[in-house]
Amino acid sequence: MTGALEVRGVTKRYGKLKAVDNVSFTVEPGQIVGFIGPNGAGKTTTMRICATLVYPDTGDVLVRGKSVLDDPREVRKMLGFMPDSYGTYSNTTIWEYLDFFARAYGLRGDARARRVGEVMEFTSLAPLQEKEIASLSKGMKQRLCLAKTLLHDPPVMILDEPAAGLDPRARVELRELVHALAGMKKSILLSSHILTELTEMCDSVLVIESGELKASGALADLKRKLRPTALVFVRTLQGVEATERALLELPGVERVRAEGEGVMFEHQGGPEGLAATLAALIRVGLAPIEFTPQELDLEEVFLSLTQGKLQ
Amino acid sequence: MPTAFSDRLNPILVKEVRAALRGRVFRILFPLVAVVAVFVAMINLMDLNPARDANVGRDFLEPIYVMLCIALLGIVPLTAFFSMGSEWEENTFDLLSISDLRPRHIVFGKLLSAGIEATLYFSAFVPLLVMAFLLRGIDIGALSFCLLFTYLASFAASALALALSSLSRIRIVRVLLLCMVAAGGIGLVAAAYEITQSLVMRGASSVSSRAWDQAIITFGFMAAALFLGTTVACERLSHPEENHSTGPRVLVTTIYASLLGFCTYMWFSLGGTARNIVEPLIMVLFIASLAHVFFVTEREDMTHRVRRSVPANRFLAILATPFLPGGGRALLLFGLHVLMASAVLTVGLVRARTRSSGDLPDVVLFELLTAFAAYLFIYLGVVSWVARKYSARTGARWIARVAIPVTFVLGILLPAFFSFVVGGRPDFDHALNPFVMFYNWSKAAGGAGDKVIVAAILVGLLNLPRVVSGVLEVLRASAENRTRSKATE
Repeated sequence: MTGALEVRGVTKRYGKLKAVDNVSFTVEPGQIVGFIGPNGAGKTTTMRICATLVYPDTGDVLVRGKSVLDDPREVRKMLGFMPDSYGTYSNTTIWEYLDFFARAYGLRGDARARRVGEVMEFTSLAPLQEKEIASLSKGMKQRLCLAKTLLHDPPVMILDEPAAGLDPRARVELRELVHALAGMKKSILLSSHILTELTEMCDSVLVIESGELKASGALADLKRKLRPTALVFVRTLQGVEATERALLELPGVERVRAEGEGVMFEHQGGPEGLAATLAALIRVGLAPIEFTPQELDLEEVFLSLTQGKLQ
Repeated sequence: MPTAFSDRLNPILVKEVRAALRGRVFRILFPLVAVVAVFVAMINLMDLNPARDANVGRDFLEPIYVMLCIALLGIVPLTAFFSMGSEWEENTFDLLSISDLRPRHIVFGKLLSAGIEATLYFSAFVPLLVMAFLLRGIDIGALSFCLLFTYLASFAASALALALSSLSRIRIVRVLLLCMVAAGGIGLVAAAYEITQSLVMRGASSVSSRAWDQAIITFGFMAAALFLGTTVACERLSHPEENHSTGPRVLVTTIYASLLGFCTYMWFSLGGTARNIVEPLIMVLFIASLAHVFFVTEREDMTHRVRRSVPANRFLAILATPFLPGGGRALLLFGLHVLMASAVLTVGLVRARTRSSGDLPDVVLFELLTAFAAYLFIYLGVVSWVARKYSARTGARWIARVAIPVTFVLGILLPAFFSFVVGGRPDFDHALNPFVMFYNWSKAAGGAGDKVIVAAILVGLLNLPRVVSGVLEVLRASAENRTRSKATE
């Protein structure tokens, strides 16, 4: 079975600069995939290639089996692209803007009116339909652009930096909208600099740097790959030295070091091993007041995988 | 608006009209222009003295017409320029590109909205124009002709403004382009006023046939500007990989054929001499050559997407070859256009024999057309041949496009300069100067036509490999598509 969006060995050069270098990945139906990388890493170029706006030097992108090289028009019918600089027209109301793009996507008559109404309802823009776009907040403009992207009901959506510049409330609302879209079995590829947002939204992530795909997969898998051992912080009433001594004698415990008022150590044994370690500490007479396995967050994953190379 | 009718309208037109009616520019400018026009008319009316002057209507019309020209030839093209620019500035062009709209929809939508804006301005002036007519002294035919001319000029100027606006997104360049549009608008207002002076103000009876000829030639140039503007704008808006050439080529050929047909019809209905048919044919060919400047400088090879669109049927592919993108294939299209003009001339000459005698011999008339086509072919062929290896680069293509008219001018000036250096006086009577050559021909003094035709044949030989490889590429693509369609079946 083919994925909803398949990127196959795509390379794009701008003169001597390799903006995208042999990138391949797949987004399955109903999957939300986060695309992360430093500025200039090649995220936007890859997304614009998927959206048929940029032509790859080599490789191909298939959207539900249709090639961006051979059938760009068919691809556009199945793809909703929201660029990072979402464009809006001045002197135009929300309804006029959506009606225009519905016409531009070939929707006619009642079908157009119905679809415009549906996307306005979905994005909660219906009460504001007569409002001029110029007077909208950034969050509302972003909603409007998302509504525009949904007009032709595309099964695959590419959202470039949709959360950029939004306040916390607007970000939460965006997250809810994206989850609702995934619930409709839409495949979503979205990029963002706000990594905590991606953690909460995405099923898996793609990490790109200097045009190369550094890693891809579910966030938990990436964390496991990057840190195969568990990192644990423990603090006891008996103090740092006693805790260190006790830990060094326990099986599976490695790299014990003092950290502030407690001790940090690595453990290879998984959740059961950690439980056994905690029980052993209590058995030897220590009184733990904190025992916290340290989770890698997406930011750390990102920093571990990328080197901050500029190109 | 009934939904069925509304659905058929160009979406860009609908959007532009809605935005314009809501926008400050139109809402301020339209009433302002109307109020100023009425104010000027009233002042003018107070100053008129029907007892002293029998042609009061003409005096009344003069300032009104200038105001109308400012609106139609100044404000409307400027609005079109800003409208295209706003697509870059408001970051909406990408959104349009991934919709079902094609560049021609965008350009024609904006052009039509300029037409509607012109109509609205025009409607504001109608009562004043009717009043001018009722005041007497104005020939209704001449006035209608001038108003039609102004209206069409507004379209042509808007097309050029759209083309100029599509050339660059760099702010400083856009300011320069804006200045060009504004300067062009001022020039057009002056030209329109001059023509109206000739046709209306002096009275229809005193209008010379020469003035009518000039007006008709001006119509020709407006048509050329319209083609050029729309062709350039469509080309600039197209994705580099898309087929942005076949549409304009078919459009240009259709309009070219229509103009040839119109020339023939006019000539038959007016019963002109044989010479009369050559001159408009040459003009129409010249107009088409403006589009050929763009076609012959296109990148030589077809892109992946264009190759996929070549007809799988070999015969259809060969027929489509002149209309497919590529500089070499554009030379075939030019040849096709020359053949069409020759066919019309043949029909004209067959008819002319029964109508007049004492004309230039048929052979000379054919030579005249052939020599003109040869001139065009030399400049199109040589420059595009030099630029062919670099045609994949956008910058190189634009340099070649500018180089063709520049070479034309240098071809006239350099031999004259050389003769000045050698002989002490510039001699413009040389084979590279078509103007002197055609002047000599019109005086039946002969010219350097043979040399030009020989030079064109040499240029043709130079370009032959390019044309052949263009045809072979089409045949290969057709074969690939045949194989692919068989595999799909």
